[in-house]
Amino acid sequence: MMQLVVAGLAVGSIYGLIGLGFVIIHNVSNVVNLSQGEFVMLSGMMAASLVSSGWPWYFAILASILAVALVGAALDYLIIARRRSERIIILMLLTLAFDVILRGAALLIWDKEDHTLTPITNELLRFGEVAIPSQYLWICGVVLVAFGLLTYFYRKTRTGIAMLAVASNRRAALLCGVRVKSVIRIAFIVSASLSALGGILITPVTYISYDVGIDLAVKGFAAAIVGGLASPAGAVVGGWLFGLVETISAGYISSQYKDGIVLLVFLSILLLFPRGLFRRTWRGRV
Amino acid sequence: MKRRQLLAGTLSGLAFPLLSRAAQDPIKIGTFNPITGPASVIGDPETKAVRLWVDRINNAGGIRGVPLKLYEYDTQSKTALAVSFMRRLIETDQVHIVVGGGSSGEALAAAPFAERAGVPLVAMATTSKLVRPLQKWVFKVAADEFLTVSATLEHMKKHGLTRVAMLTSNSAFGVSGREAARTLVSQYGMELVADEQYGDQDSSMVAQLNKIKTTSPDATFVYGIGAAAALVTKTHRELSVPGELYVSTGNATERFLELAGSSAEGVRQGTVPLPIRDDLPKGSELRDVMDLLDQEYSGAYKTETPGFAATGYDGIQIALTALENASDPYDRASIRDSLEKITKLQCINGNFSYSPTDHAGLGIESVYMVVVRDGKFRWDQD
Repeated sequence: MMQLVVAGLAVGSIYGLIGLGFVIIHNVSNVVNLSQGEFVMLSGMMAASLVSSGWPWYFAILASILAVALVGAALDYLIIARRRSERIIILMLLTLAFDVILRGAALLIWDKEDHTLTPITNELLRFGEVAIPSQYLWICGVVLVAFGLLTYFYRKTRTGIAMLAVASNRRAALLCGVRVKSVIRIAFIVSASLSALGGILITPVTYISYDVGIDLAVKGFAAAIVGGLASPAGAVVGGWLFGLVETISAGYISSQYKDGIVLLVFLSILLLFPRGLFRRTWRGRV
Repeated sequence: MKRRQLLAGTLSGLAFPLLSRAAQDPIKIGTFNPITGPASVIGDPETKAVRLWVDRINNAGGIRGVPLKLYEYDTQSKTALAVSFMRRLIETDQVHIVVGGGSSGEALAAAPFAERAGVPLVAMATTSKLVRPLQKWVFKVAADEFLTVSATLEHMKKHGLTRVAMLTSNSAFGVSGREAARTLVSQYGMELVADEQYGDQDSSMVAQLNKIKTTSPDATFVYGIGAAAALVTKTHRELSVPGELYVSTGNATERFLELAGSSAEGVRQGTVPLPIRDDLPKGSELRDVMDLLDQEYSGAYKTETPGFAATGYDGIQIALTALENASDPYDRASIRDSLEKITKLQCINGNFSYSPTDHAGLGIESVYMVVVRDGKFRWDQD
């Protein structure tokens, strides 16, 4: 049981991290960024190829996260900011186009093979019958720290508070002198960096190839939905929930139907709590 | 065109078989493969091997003095395109024989068109559904799941491993392997203690392997390829699941070794002998064939010879042999009859002998047991 819980939490943390990316962008721009999963893929692929071409590990990782942050900025600069006045559905379709472009670019730059990356530490911790690869703990830890930093950013920094203001009421924020455009740009950068971090963390565990983005995005999106697509905490908890449901149902019910069970849980949450399990955290004044 | 064929028929009857048309009419060979897309690891080397041998034959003056013309199409790993290219080869290009298919799904979809139009199809795919039930015009190149699974189970049985846990991918490949294993395990008098499945995109295999661990099997048999199979291997070792680990054919790749790392050590699989070429005695017929392919392929394309080049090589060899021996190499029916008469043709996937009741052509001795030792694939002769 312990074994399954740890694996579920680790995988779930990654879903949560991607879910956070969805939430951050959606809050300030109302856009569901369908290319979110490609940020994970790009950073994983880039780090893997840099390390295998001889870069030092930490350098490769920093470079990958920075590069993906730039890609996030580019998505806003090239597409979202220019089409601000379009309907949301148009913007979403544009992010879908961006997704296809990123995936195609990855295929051209690298290849269609799977790649791996050195984990942060490579030990296998054993507690009696339970064996836990240390990378699992790193994943859980890093995601928690990232979540903590994000909370701090939202509560204590001017930019973070401005972001909440934009999320709460864009017009009012604009009238109060918040530079909405740059706040949105920063939201894209933060969101992309978090997903990039996810890519770095998950590549040593499950490997990475140019086509994993969509699959991860779907699970991250499901996690974000649990929090009503608005609450960062909801996204992380949603991620854990899906990670746990996935592994535990595969372990105790049926590995053949585990995806069906996950979807069933997801659907029931949507039916019973259409606004998500978590209420918006900033109802009221910002 | 019709009239000319008629004329040719008459001429061949007059014992002037090929002379009169050698200059203008090449023998037309068609091929369709997933050269791009997800299955390109299979289709690209296969097509290259086919192309290479057609060029080689043409440079040497053709077959029976007649040049070959190759029509090749890229299915982009899409089954629908495989069907439309099969039809184009039959109707527009009017080829005499088709060597193609690449992936099992594409070959299965295209086979009915070959069957209906009466065109010999040498299908470069594994699935046994191509030849069970037997189709008059369809011949198969690669060892099917019943052969590789039988060879694997036989190896287990020989070493006293009778309690088997299955872990299969939910892809078409994995499902067909699972079906074969479920049938064969009981035939071999062994016991299936677990029957778990995973998705090729799954991020964790812990749940399934943890469940398998509780059944303490003698051996775990994983049926799937690619990164997921490597992930299963890694997790199997991390959880210290008891018993030996066997994976399906198709995992004897450098990528598998890279992704699974030290976990790959001791993993076994029943597969084609190309990865263990160096372990086979020099001078044996099989070794010579493999050396020839490797030399030509790596010479022409300046890369290492991927495993799937062997299937392309075998496919074109079978077609060429049939053309060589057909009573009329411009007649689809006589090419088909000639295919059925192929006996003891040494290729890489094995020693092919087709017959009116067997269009798969291979026996269990064509599957080699391969084990990973010191990070290399070695022949496990025990």
